[in-house]
Amino acid sequence: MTAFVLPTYGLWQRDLRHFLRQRSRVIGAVGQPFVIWIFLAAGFRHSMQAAGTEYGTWLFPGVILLIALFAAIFSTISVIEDRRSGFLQGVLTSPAPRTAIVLSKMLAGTTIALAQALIFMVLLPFSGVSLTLPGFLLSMLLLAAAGMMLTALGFIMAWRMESTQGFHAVMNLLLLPLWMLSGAFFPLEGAAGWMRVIMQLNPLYYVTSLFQQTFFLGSGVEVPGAPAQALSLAVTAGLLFLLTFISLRMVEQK
Amino acid sequence: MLTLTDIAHTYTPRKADDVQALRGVTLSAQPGEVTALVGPNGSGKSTLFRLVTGTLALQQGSVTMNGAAVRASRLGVVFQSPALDEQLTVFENLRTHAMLYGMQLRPVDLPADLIDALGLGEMLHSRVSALSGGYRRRVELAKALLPEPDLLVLDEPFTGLDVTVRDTFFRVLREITARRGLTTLLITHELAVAGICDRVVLLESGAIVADDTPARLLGEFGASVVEITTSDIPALEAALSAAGATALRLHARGLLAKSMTLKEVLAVVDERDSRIEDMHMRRPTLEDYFIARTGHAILMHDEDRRAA
Repeated sequence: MTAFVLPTYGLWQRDLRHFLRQRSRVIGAVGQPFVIWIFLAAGFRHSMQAAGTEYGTWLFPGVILLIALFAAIFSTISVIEDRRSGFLQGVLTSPAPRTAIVLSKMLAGTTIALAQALIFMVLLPFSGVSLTLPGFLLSMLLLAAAGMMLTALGFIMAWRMESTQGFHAVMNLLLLPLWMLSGAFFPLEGAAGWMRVIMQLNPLYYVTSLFQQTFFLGSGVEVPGAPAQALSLAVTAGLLFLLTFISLRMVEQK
Repeated sequence: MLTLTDIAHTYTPRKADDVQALRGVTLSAQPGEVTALVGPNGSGKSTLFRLVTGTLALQQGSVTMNGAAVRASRLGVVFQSPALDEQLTVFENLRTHAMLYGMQLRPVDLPADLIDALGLGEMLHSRVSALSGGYRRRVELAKALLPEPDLLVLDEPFTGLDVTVRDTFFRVLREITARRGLTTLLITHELAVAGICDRVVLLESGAIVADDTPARLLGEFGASVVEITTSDIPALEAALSAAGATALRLHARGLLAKSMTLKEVLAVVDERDSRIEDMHMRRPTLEDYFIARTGHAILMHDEDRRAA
């Protein structure tokens, strides 16, 4: 047990130290969701409503998911940096199980996402959401799952990549459209027919729907046209399992 | 004791022919000794390093430590490129590394003899990014030795170090190897360092061309050799051979005469009226031995490289 827990803890701790010691990264990571939500919520305030509610209210949980997405990108980019700097080779020749490399990254990405989300929630009084305690606890649990899943996805992309620039380009190309078409940016209801089909094919749509439903729990805000919660839960758990499994398999190969 | 038996390895690139990196390599390294594995670029050193450290899967042969498979928990590795985290302090690097080995490390747990020998006591709370290349290498060595391994493998650890730092590093390495009874395998192309190791294994084109102590390898050259720099190589080489010396081409303008004194070589030079740029007597080196066995130097001279 120690042979697994200590390496995972050590690598997780190292990732967090890295994050905290890069002041510009901390400022960027914390500031970005503030800027996005304030600008979009204020900008569309009188010109747009989503699912019968104020746009800023609708967008709020979506921006929290965006935090998890960016945290995943920045956490897994360090896989490429670690390979280039030589740090990874020291880990690979140590007796630490390789699963510790994946799990420490997933945990670090998730920890950073959760911390950022909590900071972002200082804007809650301006969002129009009356967050309940069950809603808060459940949505944080779901955010942790989303953070783990997105970090695992980032890890899969990063493990064989050589260039951080290439990784950024691919992740932006892949993840940002996934987020934009997940119902976080605009609701499924009201989208064009073909767009609805694409959104329903997007696995992140189910994660987002579930997250919105838990975040708005008891606040009176509806998520019209949301898929059945059992289906969303199954897709979320399935994705988390599948992406974790693939990343663990990848890292085990020499 | 580290034992490598009949190791062969072939790379199969997608759009090129197969490359046989190792061809039936068999060698052993003894505890308490520094064994140098020396060879030019492309000789198979890096492949052997990766096979011993377990980062490359074995295709043929076996790698054992005291008769059993090498255990990662008993292996210390110093890489050619630094494996340190520059954002962390020296102690944080050591602690993270210890945790990979399932060890919890507090500053008081640090082995004082190791930290003192490497001169790291004052640096423990400095960020690695603030350290010089020499100190970073010392941290690498401390890291590798922290879990008290049986086997220590170092891949070109002297790259980028000046001679003074290199010598200090090697002295500490040798002292710790002897004191702890470590089996140390030093992969290098620096023959000057290999010459002061306990044992030298010369690798060329994936095969071993020599495996012995430096003294025994150099025994065939006698106590001294004469090195001649001249543009008249072929003629002088023939004249020296006719006079009973063994002439060896060092590079495009360099010739080595063994089994002859400086006076005897001078006589041959005078007789032929050869144009000599420089001539001096010196002790034989492993470079001479390597050239004698392979026909070329480990690091090619510029003129030879141009000719090649």
